[in-house]
Amino acid sequence: MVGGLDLFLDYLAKYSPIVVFIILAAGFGIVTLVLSYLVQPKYPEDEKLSVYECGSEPFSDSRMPFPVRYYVIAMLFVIFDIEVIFLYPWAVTFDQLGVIGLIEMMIFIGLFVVAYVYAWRKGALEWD
Amino acid sequence: MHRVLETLHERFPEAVVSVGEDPQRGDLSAQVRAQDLVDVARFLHDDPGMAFDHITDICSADYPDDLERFEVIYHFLSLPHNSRIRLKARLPEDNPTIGSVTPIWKGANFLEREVYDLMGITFEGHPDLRRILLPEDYEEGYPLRKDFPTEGKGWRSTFDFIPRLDEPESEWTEREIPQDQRHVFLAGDQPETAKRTTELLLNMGPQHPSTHGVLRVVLELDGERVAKAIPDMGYLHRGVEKLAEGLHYMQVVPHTDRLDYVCAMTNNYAYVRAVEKLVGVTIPERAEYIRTIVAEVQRIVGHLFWLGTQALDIGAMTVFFWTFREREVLLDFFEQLCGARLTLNYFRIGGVDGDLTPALVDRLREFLKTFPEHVQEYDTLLQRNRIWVARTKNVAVISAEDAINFGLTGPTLRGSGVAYDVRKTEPYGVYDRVEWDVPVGKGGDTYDRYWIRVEEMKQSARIIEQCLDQLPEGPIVADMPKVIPPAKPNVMRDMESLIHHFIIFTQGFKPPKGETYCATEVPKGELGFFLISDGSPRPYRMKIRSPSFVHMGAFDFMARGYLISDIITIFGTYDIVMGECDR
Amino acid sequence: MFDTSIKLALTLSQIGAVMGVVLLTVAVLTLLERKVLSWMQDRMGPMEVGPYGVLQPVADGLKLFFKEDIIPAGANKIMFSLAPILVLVPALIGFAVIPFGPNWTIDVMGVEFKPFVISDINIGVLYILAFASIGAYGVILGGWASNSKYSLLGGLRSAAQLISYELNVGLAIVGVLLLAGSLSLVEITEAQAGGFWNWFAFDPVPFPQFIAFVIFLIASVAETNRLPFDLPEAESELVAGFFTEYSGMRFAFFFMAEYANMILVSCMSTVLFFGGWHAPLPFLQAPGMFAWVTGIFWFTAKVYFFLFLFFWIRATLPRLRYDQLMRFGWKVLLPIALGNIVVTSVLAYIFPN
Repeated sequence: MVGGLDLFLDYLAKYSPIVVFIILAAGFGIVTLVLSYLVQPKYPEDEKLSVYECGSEPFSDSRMPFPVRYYVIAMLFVIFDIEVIFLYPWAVTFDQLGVIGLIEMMIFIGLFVVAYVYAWRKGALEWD
Repeated sequence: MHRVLETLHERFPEAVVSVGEDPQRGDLSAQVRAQDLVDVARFLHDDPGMAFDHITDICSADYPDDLERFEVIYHFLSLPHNSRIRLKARLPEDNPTIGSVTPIWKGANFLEREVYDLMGITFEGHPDLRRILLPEDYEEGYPLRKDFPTEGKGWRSTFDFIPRLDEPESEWTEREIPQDQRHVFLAGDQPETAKRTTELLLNMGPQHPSTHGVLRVVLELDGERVAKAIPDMGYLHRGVEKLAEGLHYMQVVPHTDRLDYVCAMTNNYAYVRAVEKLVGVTIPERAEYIRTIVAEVQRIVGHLFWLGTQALDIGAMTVFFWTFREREVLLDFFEQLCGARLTLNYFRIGGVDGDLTPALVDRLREFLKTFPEHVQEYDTLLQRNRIWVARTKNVAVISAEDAINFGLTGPTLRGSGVAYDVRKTEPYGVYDRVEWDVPVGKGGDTYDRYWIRVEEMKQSARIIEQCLDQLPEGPIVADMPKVIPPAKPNVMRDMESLIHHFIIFTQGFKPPKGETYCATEVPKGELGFFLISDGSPRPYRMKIRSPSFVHMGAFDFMARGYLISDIITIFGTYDIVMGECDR
Repeated sequence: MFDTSIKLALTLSQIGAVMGVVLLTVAVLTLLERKVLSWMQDRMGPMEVGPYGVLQPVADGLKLFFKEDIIPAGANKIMFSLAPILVLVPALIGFAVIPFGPNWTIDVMGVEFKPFVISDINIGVLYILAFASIGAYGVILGGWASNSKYSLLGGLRSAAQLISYELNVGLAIVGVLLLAGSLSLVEITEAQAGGFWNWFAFDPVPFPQFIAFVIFLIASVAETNRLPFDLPEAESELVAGFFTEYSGMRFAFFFMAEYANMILVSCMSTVLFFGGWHAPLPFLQAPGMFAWVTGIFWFTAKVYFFLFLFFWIRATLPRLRYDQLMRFGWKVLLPIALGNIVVTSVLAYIFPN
């Protein structure tokens, strides 16, 4: 268990600066916004607060449902991105895996290509 | 009698009331019974011997004292036979209704709406007869009618955005608006039916970075694809046509500067040519050359401006600054020539205002030496650029047939492969004395129109060069004391000139009674002025046939099915200027 | 306890320095971009504030700081306010794993300390990619929360664009990982020591990753919403895209995030493909304890070269259309990136280092 503790302490040492950085960066953002909020003028008025639609009254709320064609792209991304993530550990330990690893990954990429060609032929990549 | 008129007379003995051929100006016209107008128009369009396939303009005139008060005037052009005809029909005051020619010429749509808007004539069978230049809630009537006062009827003063001095300053700027008074755009405010629509309505303009002024287009979007595009114009409508009715012929020239404010020279040219055609003035040789030169310089300026803005719309910002660099040189040239850079007011009826001095000639030659290199520079950034080609090829395609049917002119028409250029078909100035070509596209897409305009700049440079070589000596203003103000030294010296000067500047000159249409090729297309003179020193009616306005008529047709990104390239490819479009 | 406080003090000062340098670089970049574009376009650029306009970023910053922040009617206030921070923070904290200079460990009062990298974690590449994706949320959220159609369209566009090109960024890096055998940016840099022929972009054995570098560069231009891929904020189409409704400091945050992201991807290009802090030729590297001077110099020089490339591309190319952008990402870049992985891995097996 000592090894486990060491690992934990090592992680703590390595990741604590990142946590501090995140806090500092977020703090910078929030503090700047708050300071700016304190010094800025606040004269809201009807016309100023209306959303921009090139000087005309908007026809409708912009959150009405309307067809978006990005949905398929989003699904493809999820699938392909997971495959990419599988490539990472393989790439890092490439030297140790030897020829078996190479062949296995070639099969994996082959499957990837099959899925890709299928998506292409099905027209999923035709953005419209 | 002319062949066309003869045929018309034979074919429609009842419907055609009278025909006429203007002996001096060569205009053909036919007076037609209102109820038969559509039939006559259809014959003119369909008959191969007539083939008036291009609608130039629809105009209206008001004669309050006549029995039939209104006159609707159609201008048609036959591209195969290169002839124009004017059809006129009279309408009574109590029921000013006439059949619509929109089924024959799709371009008639906007033109008829304009007549309806400004003169109150109803077109039966028109698909969408609404006001076009004036706001839809405009209640004062029809401004181009003679009984409508030029200054309006007071509607304007009721606008609440005009600051009123008698009211105390509002106080709300200092405090927050209560929540209940805020105008909040929430989904809940919408009627149930609005939620069901699958199409998103989007306002593009009037305050949009790339609508080239104050054009508004309402887009019906299906995703990012345009299902329908409805142009809404008139934000820059100033009523130039109405204003002109109260001005002497000479006084109208500065107003034409402000039509297409990017290319003031060519507008001046178009107007003074129309007046000269009406009056019958012969222009001295040197003035003709100078006019041609400055018109072509202006064409280069206009096309440079267009190229820069179109490239900027598509995202190539460097081209914009480079073209403006060259435009600057030419504007400086204009400044030296006539003192102004943008609204030039350089043309005079019968000639031009100032002479092209040797220093200016040298300056122009200097420019022409480096200009081809600069055009080459723009080409390196665009012509072979794959993104540029992808953004312009096969975008906003219009076939030659449709383009003609919509009445398109200029590079927009030539892009579709129709070699119609007023400078070639009805040469004016010295265009028939120099060598130049009309570049014609094939595909009718944005790329072809881009290529044509770049080629036209090269051709313009060629024309200028030849004109500079041929430039003769001589006077720059015609000698016609009753119409054209005599030279200032003469006014100071002899009594007769002084009298002429005095009369022209106080009363204006009186052209003969009559009417004429005169077309001029401006960078945007065919700019036509139709003048009706009643013998008084002011035009009885002046109609401007502005290419931008006619082109906007084809906007919906060309935009459907393309993406939002393509919409802005269509604005660009028309080279639209709202000053001219809205007048 | 004493050790921890020293460590904390060191870390804080290091983070402060990095953030300071990054924000300063952002300020410099806003001016530099305008100046570089101006010179390419035959004009002067900002000249009014300070000599040759050098104080322009200060003026811009102050102006935006004192501007009214407008929250449009109907906007989702919390999301609307959160979005800029959500964009800016990931852009800044990516720098935590970037090694700016030699991988030294020095001893400060008994505490081990790496002066030129905030934290050398062994999954540095993944860390940056992960936080870059979070930045995309900010953009989408900002576009949606504004309740403006232009913002919404911009937000949707960026959603599709960022995910499509993120894939290509991820695939382009795999080749480098194969050669370096590590996800740590420090180790990746160290694997490229010795001269420019050892940089992964050029290293001839087993396979130069230059194609991967080009893909990475193109995809990162798209990831940072820069021309010719600036569709989410295409000013001539969508006015300002997802930040149409933003003003004042919130607007400034989006702006800063864009430039910080540019710096970040430039740093990543430098580290992954161009040898990080290593000099292009061995003798250009100062020996011994002065190595950090040349190290930081070369690192900065390379980063600025890539930043210049960003400006140059912007001055040269027009904007793509949406379908073209997607087609390019999915049908051109993706197969090439995949092919690169296959070729690299096979060659790396045949010619092991």
